[in-house]
Amino acid sequence: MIGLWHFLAVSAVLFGLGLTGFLTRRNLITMFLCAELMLQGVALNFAAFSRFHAQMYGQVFVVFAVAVAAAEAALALALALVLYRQARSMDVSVWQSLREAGVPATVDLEPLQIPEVAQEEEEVHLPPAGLRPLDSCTEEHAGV
Amino acid sequence: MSELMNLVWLILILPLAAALAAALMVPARLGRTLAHVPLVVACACAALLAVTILSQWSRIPSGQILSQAGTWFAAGQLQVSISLALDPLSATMLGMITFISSWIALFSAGYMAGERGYARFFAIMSLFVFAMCGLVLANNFFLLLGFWELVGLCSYLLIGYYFHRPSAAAAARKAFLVTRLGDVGLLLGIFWLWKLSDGQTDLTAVFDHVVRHRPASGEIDLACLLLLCGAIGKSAQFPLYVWLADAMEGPTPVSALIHAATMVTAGVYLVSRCAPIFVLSPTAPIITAWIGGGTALLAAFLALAQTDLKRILAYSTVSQLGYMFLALGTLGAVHPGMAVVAALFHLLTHAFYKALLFLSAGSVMHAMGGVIDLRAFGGLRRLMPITHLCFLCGAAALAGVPLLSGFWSKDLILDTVIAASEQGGAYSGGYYLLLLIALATALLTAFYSFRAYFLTFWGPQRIPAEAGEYAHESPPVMTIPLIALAAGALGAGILLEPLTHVLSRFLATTPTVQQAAQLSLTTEGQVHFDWTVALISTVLAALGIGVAGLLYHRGEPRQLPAILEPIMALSRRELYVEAVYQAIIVRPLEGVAFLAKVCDGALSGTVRLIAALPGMVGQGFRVIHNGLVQFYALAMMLGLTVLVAFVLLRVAR
Amino acid sequence: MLAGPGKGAAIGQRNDISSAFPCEKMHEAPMPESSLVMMVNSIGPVVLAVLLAVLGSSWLLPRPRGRFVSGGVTAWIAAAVILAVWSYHRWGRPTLELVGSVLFLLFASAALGGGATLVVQRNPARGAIAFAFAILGVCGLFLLLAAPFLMAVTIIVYAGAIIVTFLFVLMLSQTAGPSDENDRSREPLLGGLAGFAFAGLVLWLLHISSLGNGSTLVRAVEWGEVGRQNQTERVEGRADVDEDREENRSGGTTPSGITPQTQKELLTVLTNAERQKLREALRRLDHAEEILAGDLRQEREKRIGYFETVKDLVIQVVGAAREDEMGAAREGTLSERLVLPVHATEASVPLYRSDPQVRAVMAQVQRVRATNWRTFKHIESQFLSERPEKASMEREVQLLRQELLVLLGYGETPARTVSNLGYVVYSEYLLAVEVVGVLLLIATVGAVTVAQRHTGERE
Repeated sequence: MIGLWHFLAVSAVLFGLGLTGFLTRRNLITMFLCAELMLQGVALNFAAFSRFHAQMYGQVFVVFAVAVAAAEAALALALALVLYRQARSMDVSVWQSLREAGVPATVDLEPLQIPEVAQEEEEVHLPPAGLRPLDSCTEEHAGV
Repeated sequence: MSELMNLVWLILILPLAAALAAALMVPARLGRTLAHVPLVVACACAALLAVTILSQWSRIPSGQILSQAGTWFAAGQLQVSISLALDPLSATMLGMITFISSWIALFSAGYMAGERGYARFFAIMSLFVFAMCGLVLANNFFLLLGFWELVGLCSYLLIGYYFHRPSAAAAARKAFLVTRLGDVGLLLGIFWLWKLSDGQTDLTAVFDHVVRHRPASGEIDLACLLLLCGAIGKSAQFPLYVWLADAMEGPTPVSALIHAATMVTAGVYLVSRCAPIFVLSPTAPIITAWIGGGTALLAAFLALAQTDLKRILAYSTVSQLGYMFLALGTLGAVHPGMAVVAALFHLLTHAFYKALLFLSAGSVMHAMGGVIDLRAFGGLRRLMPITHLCFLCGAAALAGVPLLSGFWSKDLILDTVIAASEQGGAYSGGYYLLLLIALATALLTAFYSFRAYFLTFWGPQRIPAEAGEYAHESPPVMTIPLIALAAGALGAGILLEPLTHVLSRFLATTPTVQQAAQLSLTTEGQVHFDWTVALISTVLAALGIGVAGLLYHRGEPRQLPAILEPIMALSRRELYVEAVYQAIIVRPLEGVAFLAKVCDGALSGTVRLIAALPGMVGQGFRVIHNGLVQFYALAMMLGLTVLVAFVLLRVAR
Repeated sequence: MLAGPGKGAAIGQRNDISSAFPCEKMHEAPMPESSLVMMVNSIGPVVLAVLLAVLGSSWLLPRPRGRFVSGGVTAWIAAAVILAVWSYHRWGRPTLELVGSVLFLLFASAALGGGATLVVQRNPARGAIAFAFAILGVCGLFLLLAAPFLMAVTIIVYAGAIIVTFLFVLMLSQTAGPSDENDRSREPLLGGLAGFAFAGLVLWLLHISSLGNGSTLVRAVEWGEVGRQNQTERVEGRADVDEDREENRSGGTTPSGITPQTQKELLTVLTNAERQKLREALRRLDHAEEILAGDLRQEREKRIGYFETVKDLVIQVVGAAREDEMGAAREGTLSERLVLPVHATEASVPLYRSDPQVRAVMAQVQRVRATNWRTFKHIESQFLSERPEKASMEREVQLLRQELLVLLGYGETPARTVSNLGYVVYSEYLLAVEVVGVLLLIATVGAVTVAQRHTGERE
């Protein structure tokens, strides 16, 4: 079936990308986005089959899948918010308490490279007009 | 006749009921003060009943009543019935047991007052009395065995009465195990007799069958020797005597009743009972005689230098039991009636004076606050006059002072040995040697008994610190039994045998004795009173008493004469028998036990290892559960990928 | 363009169509048995692509000690190229026309590029934007699949609602500076392996199932007296595919001895010439509509003129392929070609397909044919009458136009799928709709409740 396979291939690769992201990324938001990416792949799959079977049922499924995805995203984001409030971090690895007793917690040992944040130059703060600047500066005092 | 048997059953049941009553009293508060009542009442009633039976003996025509109560168990050819036999032998034993135990029960009511576990003591004592009565009444070997073991159990429980003390617990264990060794022989002997008699287990039936069918002499020898093993164990003869000295860890009434008067005499009773087959055996009697004689001398030697009063009395018991076995050892050579009478007479008198001696020692111990070491006290004759006099009576009887009971019974034994040495045939020389040994033992007996007497009651009065304010004469509840037993020790001997021959005539009517008499080759039924031997024994007793008085009448001398020093040293060390036993028996057994423990450990270790394997595997796999959601999802996806790949491979093919 | 799913199918008619495309792919004979090695060889590119993708992901996913960006991007692009070439090689060009192909490539690139960026992007906000691009790409693909409603819904729900909510949550959960979750990955190698290996497995599955799928076609192609070369022209674009299929053909012959060339020709629905004629007819019809817009009384001649042309054109295609007659009520070229030749002559080139899709089209064409003639008559009467009714004429023209579109293979316009979708959803799946509505309500309430701040009582 010319054409169908290409769509299915794209859908498969989308799903695989989403799966990779879900399994590797640690930010809760990014994880959920990758899950949504997986759902997109699946929706594309259904739409392609619907097209190539000349039936509407695939698209119907996609509609419902999107609706459920929306509901799931709402709850997932609410939960992400609550988790953030508990741990002050969006890292999913913070939540390890369901491990077996006796298994030590998994901690990251490699230090993050903190880039040197360039010190912001202090903005020059001009005094309101008409008043002498309080600091002693080398420049000439303006005005009186 | 059946009423008499009913009385016999009642004698049997009364102590059992007392045991139950006392056992029920154990948790109650009443038990702390009134638990002695059932025992005293039961023993007194039983003694009265025994006297009644004895007085009405003429109503028994055949000299014995058999009573069968039913079958205990039956398996194939083995039929064990609950049958009791009342004949002169068992009636005599019964009378002695109940009489002595009632006085001792009364004594122990005062002695054990205030002890923890008061009711437990009386419960076990009552059970013991029941078991002892059952033992002498039993007409079935297995029933006898049951009662045999039961007395052993009661002895164990009572030696270990103060079970918090490690030495007491160890002594109880030792007593039980050593007698166990003998009991193995007894069991094997019973089985052998069962085989020999084609499946009979009742004593009367076994004897009838053996007498009628006369098995080979080697087989009878084996049976007698096996039975003798049991007797040796229970009656503390060489080599199984080591438990009796340690058994003094128990309370003194226990020592008096069980380890002086009754339980240790069960072996003597057994051999007396089995006189018919002992007579038929060629070698068993002489072996018995040598064991008895050797043990008598050995124990007397060991008693010379002991410092624990009760230990002296314990070794003395062993020695006197040796005398009884010596008497029984003449079964083949003299008229069985003589041998049995001699042994039983000595048993009776020994029961009186030994119980008296033990109770006196108990009275002293009670007054001295639990101290029984001779080195700790002395000169008590003014402090405890009644105890002093009673002890003197007992010691005199033990030493063989003329006209006292011990003199008469010891002399009867010596006369029997002389008769055996005259008539013994091949063993005459052996019997003569045994006579000399017995005389030497008499000398030593007199010495050590009066050494104990002088060290306790003469010399400067010393009271140990543990006595405190208790150092006074014992209360009447304890002294009255002493007086009663002293009366028996003084007069029982002369009343029973030498002039009136009451005992010998009575015992001669025992069916088993008559049966044995028929088998024996001798016809002489009466023992002549040998004046020579009596004189020699009197001289020896006086010598012994004199030497002891000389050395000890002022208490422990600072230095003993040089001759006696090594003897006393050996005696003190008990001839290193314990060390020998430890090396020969105990260490190898411990080694075997260690090996068994190692094997058991290996087995159970293997099982435990297998049981632990899932845990270890799980521990290894536990690392997977690290609580990370992504890890779990990753594992799931990898597994799913593998699965899908596998399915696709199959499909594609 | 592409024909959408027929309405008949939407109303529950089971047509069991498995391809809307008029072109059948060429297939070879069933695989020889000793083909495990061959199979492995044939999916070698997939394996290579998966490995490159894993390598690239392990370089690109956030790491504390820095990423090898150029290497990873190169690896991923190489993997994508390999995959594209392989799929093109394996399954042929994606669509019939150039525009379709280009659009497909564009939207697919947007989707995959956006997804890739989302996966490796450190900043979650940027990741959300990349996700938006991915959504747009997928929506474009939905459009290509004649699902405009899905496109609209996806954009509204995802790019509109979900991404905005994501951004809100991002704002509420600010982490300053480099943080563990953004700069580290959990098991990048294994995670990439799991994901891409799964995708590779699915691709392999596609490969396998597309190998075996044409077998039904082979069995079904039973020709009666077949063999004649179709004199019609080749449809454009087929040639490229044929060349690529050279090695795949492996010399297999169909049971009836038809050469592949003929087969391909036979499997066409319309020839190019017919297609052109139909298009011309459509154009004339548009003009006809213009005419109808004006004053009908004056333009009668023009009307008739235009109609004649249309009629000619249409009849030429629909009516008869034979030059001889008009085919008043007879079956024309098209239906003959689509039906088992019961009475086929040399002149006719029978065409038969067991393909249910085509059979549906065929049935539709039959219907069109039936109504078409009536419509013709009606229009003719209208056009040629003295007092034409404008409204009915317009309606008839519209009808004819749509029927011609169907013949052209366009079927109904993609926009019709919206109404078809609504039809299906609200008839067969009404309960599901209600349930999903309630579910959304519950989710909303639940989300609000869960995310509440508990003031006063601290857990």
